[in-house]
Amino acid sequence: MLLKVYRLIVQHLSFIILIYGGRFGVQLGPAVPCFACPYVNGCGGQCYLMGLQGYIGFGISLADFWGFEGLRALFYLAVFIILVVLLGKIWCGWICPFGLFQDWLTYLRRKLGFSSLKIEPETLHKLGYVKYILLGWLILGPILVDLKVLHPDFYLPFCQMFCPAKPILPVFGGEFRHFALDTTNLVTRIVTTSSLLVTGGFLAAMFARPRFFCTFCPLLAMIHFLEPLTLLKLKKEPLLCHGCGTCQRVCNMDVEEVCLEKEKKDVQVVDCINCGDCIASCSAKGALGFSFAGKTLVSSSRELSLGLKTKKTSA
Amino acid sequence: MKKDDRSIRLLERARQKYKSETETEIELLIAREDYFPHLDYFLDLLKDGGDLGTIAQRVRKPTIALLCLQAPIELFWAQGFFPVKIYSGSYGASNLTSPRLPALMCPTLKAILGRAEMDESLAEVPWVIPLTCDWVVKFKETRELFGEFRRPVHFLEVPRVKDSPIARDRWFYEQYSLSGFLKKIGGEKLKAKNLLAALKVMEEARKALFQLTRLRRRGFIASVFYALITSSFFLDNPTNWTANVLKVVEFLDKKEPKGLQEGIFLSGSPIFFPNFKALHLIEEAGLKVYGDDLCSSERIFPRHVGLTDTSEDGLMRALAEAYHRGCLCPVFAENSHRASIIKEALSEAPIRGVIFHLLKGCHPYELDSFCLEESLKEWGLKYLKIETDYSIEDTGNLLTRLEAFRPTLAESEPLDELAG
Repeated sequence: MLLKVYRLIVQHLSFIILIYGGRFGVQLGPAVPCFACPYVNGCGGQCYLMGLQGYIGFGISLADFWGFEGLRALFYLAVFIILVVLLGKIWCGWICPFGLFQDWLTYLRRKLGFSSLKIEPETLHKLGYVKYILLGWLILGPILVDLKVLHPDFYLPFCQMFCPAKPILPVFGGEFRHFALDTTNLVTRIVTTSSLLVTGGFLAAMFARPRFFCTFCPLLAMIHFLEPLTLLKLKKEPLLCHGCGTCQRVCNMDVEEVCLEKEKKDVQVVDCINCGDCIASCSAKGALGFSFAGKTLVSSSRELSLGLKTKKTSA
Repeated sequence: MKKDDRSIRLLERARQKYKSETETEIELLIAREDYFPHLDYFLDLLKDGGDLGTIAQRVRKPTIALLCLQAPIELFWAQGFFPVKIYSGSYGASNLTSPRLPALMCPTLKAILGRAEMDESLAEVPWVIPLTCDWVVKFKETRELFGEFRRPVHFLEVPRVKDSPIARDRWFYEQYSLSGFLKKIGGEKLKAKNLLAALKVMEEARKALFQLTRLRRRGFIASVFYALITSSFFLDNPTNWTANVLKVVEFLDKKEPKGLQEGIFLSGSPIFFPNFKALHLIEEAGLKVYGDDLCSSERIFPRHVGLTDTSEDGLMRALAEAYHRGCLCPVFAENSHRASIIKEALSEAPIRGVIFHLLKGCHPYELDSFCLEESLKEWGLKYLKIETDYSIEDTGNLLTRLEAFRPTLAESEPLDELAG
C-alpha cells in the first residue's frame, strides 16, 4: 500500500514537471525516455521518440549526419541510454505523464463500477508485436521522407499519425487544436484523420483496460532493448513465491510470466512497466522486489501487502 | 432413518465421550501456567461445542455447514449467511462411525461424520461441500449411510490444476454457481458493495491473525493457544473475533522478549479441537513450534486478496484467485509452492527442523510429505514425520520419537541465506 502511495506522489510530481515545468524554467531536454509530449506548450521535457524521428535522429539527412547534427544526435542518444540504464522502466510506471493519464482513466472506470476489458494472454502477446512495427515506422518514415519517397508532410510520422498523447496531453496545457483536422492537403488530411481515429480508439480502450496503450508503446520496446544494461530491475525469488497469482491479477499490463516463473530470478519482461503494484500486493516475504545494481531496494512482505508497520521477527 | 436401541446407546456414549474430550482439553488449557484471561473469549466459544443453532443466534444470521475452507467465506457473508466450518478432532465422534467405514479412512472425516450423527443441528442447515480430497468427494454418500440431509447440499468442484487459465475460469464460474445456490436458499442477491464490505471484514481478521503470527515467531504464544484462537474463527461474528485477537496481540506485545531456543515448524494434516494431542506432545518433548502451514491454523484463510478492480467481476476474480491459485492444499497438481511458507518462516524464527504431522489415511498430505522431505534436507533442516489418528494409544510412542528428535536440531545446518 505504501509503495502505491509513493508511486502516486512521484507520478503526479513528474506530471507537473514534465507538462508544466517549462513555465517555471525547468527543461529536461529532448531525450526523456517517456511521453513528455513536446506538443504541450511550456512542457518541462521532451519525449525522445520525437527527437529520434526528427532533429536528433532519423530526421537528419545522411549528409548532415557527419557534421554537428550527427554529433548532437549521438550525444542525446547517449543521454537517453544513461537515463534508461539508471531507471529502466521506472520511466514508464512512475514518471510517464501519459501513463498517469491512463491510470486516471482506470481510476474513473473503477469508480463507476465497470469491470476491466478481458483480453486473452495469447491475444495480448500478439498485440504486443505492434510496438515493434510502430518502432520500425518511426525509424523508416523519416528516412523515406529524406529520400523523398514520402511527402514531406509525413515528418514525425509516429507522433503525427499514431501517438494518442499528441492530441491528449496538450489539453492539459490548454490547447485543443490537435483534435482538429488539418485540411491543407491530402497528406495532412490522411495524417490528422489517422491521428484522430487512433486517439479515439485508444481513449475508449484505455478506459476499458488499464495501461492499454503501453502494450503498443514503441518507447517501451526501446527501453526493453536496453534492459540487459539497466540497473533497476524487477526480481523474483521463486522459492519464496506462493504461486497465488495476485501479481498477475493486479498487474496493469496483465503480465503472466512473473507469476509462472519457477526458476529464474530475473523476471523483467518486455511488457512489465515496473509500476511495482505486484510487489505492493504480494504477501510472500521477499518473493518480489526491485533491485538497483544488485541491491534490493524494496521487497514484498505481508506487512507491505496488508499495510502494517514492519516489525523485526527474526531471532 | 430409525435407529435401534444399540445404535442409540452407542450414540449416547459417543456424545458423552465428545463432551468429556472437550472438557478435558479446556481444563488442560486453563491449567497451563502461561494461560492468560484474554483467551477466555475463545474458550467460551469452543465450550458450546459448535451447535449451529446457538451460532445462528449469536451472529444473527442463518448458518450453513461448510466442509472445507476452499469455499470463499466472503461470498457467504455478502449474501447474508454465516458459514460454519464443520470440523472435529474428537476420538469419540470418530469412533462412532469408524466400524462402518474403511479402516484407513481419514480420521477427520470419520469424526465429522460422527459429529453429524450426534449433532441434530447439522441436519437442519444447508451444506456446501468443496470437492477437494477423495474423502470429501464421497462425503455426501457416506453421510447418507448414517443419516439424511434435510436441507440442500451444494458441491463446489475444485479444479486440481492451478496455473491453467481454463481451470481458473472454471473455479471462477463455480463461485457464481455457489452464489446462485445461496440466492436460491433464501440469500440476498450478490452485490459488489456487500462483497467488498465482506472482503474488508476478512482483511481485518487477516491483519489481526498476522500480527498474532508475528508474535508466534518471536515465541510469545504457545501453539495450543494459537490453535485455540484459530479453531474459534467460525463460531462468532468475525468482527468480534478480530477484536478479541487484537486484545491478545496487545497483551502479548507488552511481554518482555526472551532469548529464543531453536525450534521447529509444523507441517502437514490439520489439527482440530478438541484433539490438540500432537501440539501437547511436541511441547512436552521440549520442542518449540514457531510456525505451521496447517489449514486449521496459520492457513485458515487466504493470506491476502489484493484488490484493484472493485466491480463485481473484479472482486469475484480476486476472490477466486485467493481461494484457488493461492491455496497450498496438497490436493492440487504441481504444488511446488508449498515449501515457500516454510522458507519464509525460516527467515523469521530460529527454526531448525520440520515435524510433519500426518493423519492416517490423509493421502494427499502423505504423498506431499515425501516431496517436502527432499527440499528440507537440501536446506539443511531436520525432518520428522509423525503419523497418528485421534486415539491416545500412540501417545507414548510419539513422545519417545519427539524426544529423540529434539537433540538432533542442534546438528541441523540451515543454509546461510535461509536461517533466521
